[in-house]
Amino acid sequence: MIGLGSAVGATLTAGAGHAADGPLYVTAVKGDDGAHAVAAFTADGVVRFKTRLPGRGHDAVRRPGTNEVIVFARRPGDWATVVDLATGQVRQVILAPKGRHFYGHGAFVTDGQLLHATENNMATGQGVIGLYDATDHYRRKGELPSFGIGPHELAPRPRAGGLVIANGGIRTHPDSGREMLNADAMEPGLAVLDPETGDCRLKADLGPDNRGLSIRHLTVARDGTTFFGCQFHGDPFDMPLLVGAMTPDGRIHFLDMPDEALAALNNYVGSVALDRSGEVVAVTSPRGGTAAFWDRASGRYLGRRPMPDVCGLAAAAAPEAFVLTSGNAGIATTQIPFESIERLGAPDLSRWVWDNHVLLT
Amino acid sequence: MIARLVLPLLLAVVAIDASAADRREILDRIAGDFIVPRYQALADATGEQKKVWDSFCAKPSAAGVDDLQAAFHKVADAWSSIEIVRYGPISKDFRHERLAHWPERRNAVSRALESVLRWNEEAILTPKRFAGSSVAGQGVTAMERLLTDVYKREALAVGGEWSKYCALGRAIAGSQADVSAAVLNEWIGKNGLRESLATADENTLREAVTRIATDLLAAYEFVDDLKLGAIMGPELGKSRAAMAEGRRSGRPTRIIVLNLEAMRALTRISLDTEDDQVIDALDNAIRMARDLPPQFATLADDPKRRWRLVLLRDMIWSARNLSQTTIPPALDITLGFNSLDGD
Repeated sequence: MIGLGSAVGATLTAGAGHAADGPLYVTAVKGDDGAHAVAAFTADGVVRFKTRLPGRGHDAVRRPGTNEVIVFARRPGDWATVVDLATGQVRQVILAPKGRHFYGHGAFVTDGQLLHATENNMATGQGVIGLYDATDHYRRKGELPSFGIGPHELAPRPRAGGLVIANGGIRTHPDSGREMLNADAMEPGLAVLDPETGDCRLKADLGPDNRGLSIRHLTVARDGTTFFGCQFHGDPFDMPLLVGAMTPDGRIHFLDMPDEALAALNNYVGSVALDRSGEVVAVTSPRGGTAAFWDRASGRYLGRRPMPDVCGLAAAAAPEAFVLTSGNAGIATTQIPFESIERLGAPDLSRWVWDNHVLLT
Repeated sequence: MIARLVLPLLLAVVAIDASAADRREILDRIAGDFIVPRYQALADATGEQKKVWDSFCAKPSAAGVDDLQAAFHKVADAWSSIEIVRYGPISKDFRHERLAHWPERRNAVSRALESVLRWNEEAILTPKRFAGSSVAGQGVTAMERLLTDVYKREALAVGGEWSKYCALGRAIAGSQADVSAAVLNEWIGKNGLRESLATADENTLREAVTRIATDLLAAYEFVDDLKLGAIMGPELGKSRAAMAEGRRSGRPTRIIVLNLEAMRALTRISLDTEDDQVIDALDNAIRMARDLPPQFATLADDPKRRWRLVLLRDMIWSARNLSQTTIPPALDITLGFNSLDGD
């Protein structure tokens, strides 16, 4: 168990009371002191707070209608912190129950009552969705099946209904860190959970032609279409398409792109997001140092931008624009169709190591 | 899973509290003793290769083909000695991808060459147009393919078709020379990166050191996991010899050696010492790699000799672990983790 006492909650950079100034970007970060933290910055690149975490964080989710953001430990961590957006202070630490660990992502479905977190049942390897009552100090109310192994990112589906879950298909156990325990028997897929009944509303897999792909990250468009990004664990000399879409009724197709652009993703997608208009799909590949873009409606490939160690990705304030964060090249914005990437913000933003995901609150 | 012989981490890690002046000094050392001389060598080799192609195509001959091969090997050596660096001007305009294209997937290099061969010669020899063709057809791997597969097929068939292959060779050589000259110039020319680093603020300096160190650590993964591991395969009988980088020109082992030597040199210059366990581990790995046959993959499916590759990977793994522990504190940086350790 990680020591959660004094390590948590010291807000290192003051900046209280700014949540009302406009949207904040919230992300896990490693400061130049080497300590893991959660930080928030504005659209024009001003850091509002940086608050220490018990270990390396992963993704964050905003509790609807409140100033609370829940930051999850990176898998296979067993903690999540509830952070006040207005002050940057940690309000509470949520612990995964015995026999479960978090996978790093969570979601609310319709309102701010029930937090759904992807978790691992360590005894069976089956994925579960832990249910935490945000109105009762995030007390764990129970769990539902994720209908797969290795659930990772999840999101509610506007219009289409239900909670779509990326079941990566990779089994791990904290005793062996992040080692893949079922390399020969991965069953990646998307499942749509009915959060009311716990039933599986539909399940879509990638089929035998896509063996070795692990679906890890996703985002849902306003029409209920799910866009997902994969990591390929098969033959390194193969190069399958990595970005796909699932229609509200569960049909999957992949988004095409030129071979040399696909090669630049280096068989790895780390984040998926839509722009503010919902018309541009973007993915990042830290292993390829590349961000790539498609037109949502037509599926047409729009191009790519290089940025070293890029992974965090969120819509920027303007339509057809994105905020990109990197482990060693700070924060940038890019606008479609311009070919450039513009650095964002104060020196702190390029001094720190930005982690895998960034949340637009 | 390959058993790893990880060296015990009995390290007295020397951490420094680097000032802007310290970082400037480190970067000046890295640029002056490692990056710039190696890009200079690449620019020289690619410039020479361009001349050799121009004179060969003016008067093709069997002896001239030997000159083309020799010029290619010099370029390939120069590239393998600097390819680990992705920081700086090489990161612009997809230059790194244009100079190298490995691992090759979906037969991209041959398809790119065949596509350009459908153009007329004038188009092929228009640098701007050629630069816009697939990056897979512009690099060292493409030149190797042209000099082996295509050349063998058309061996000295001096005639209409050969002149088209000649145009393609000149275009690739010209592109490599242009890219290499631009990278060198943007390092050392007026307002070049070296000049701007000399007056850069602390954050720019920190980022530069961090990026170069990340490149160095990423090179371990690339060499160990892909160039060696993916080729030798997870067990006997599962090697992928045909996919090895430089296989057609007999260079797979040489590439590993040159990459490791570059990693050693960059480590030594960064740490400013010969006396470090990472250097010792890399020296062991280099010695072991130099003893391998030119096509190291021939050992991969041989039950009596595969251990030599396994041991080499263990040595590289040890150097990788030691580097991860030693280099960040020695340079007072926090290393990026998305590309090395994502989710």
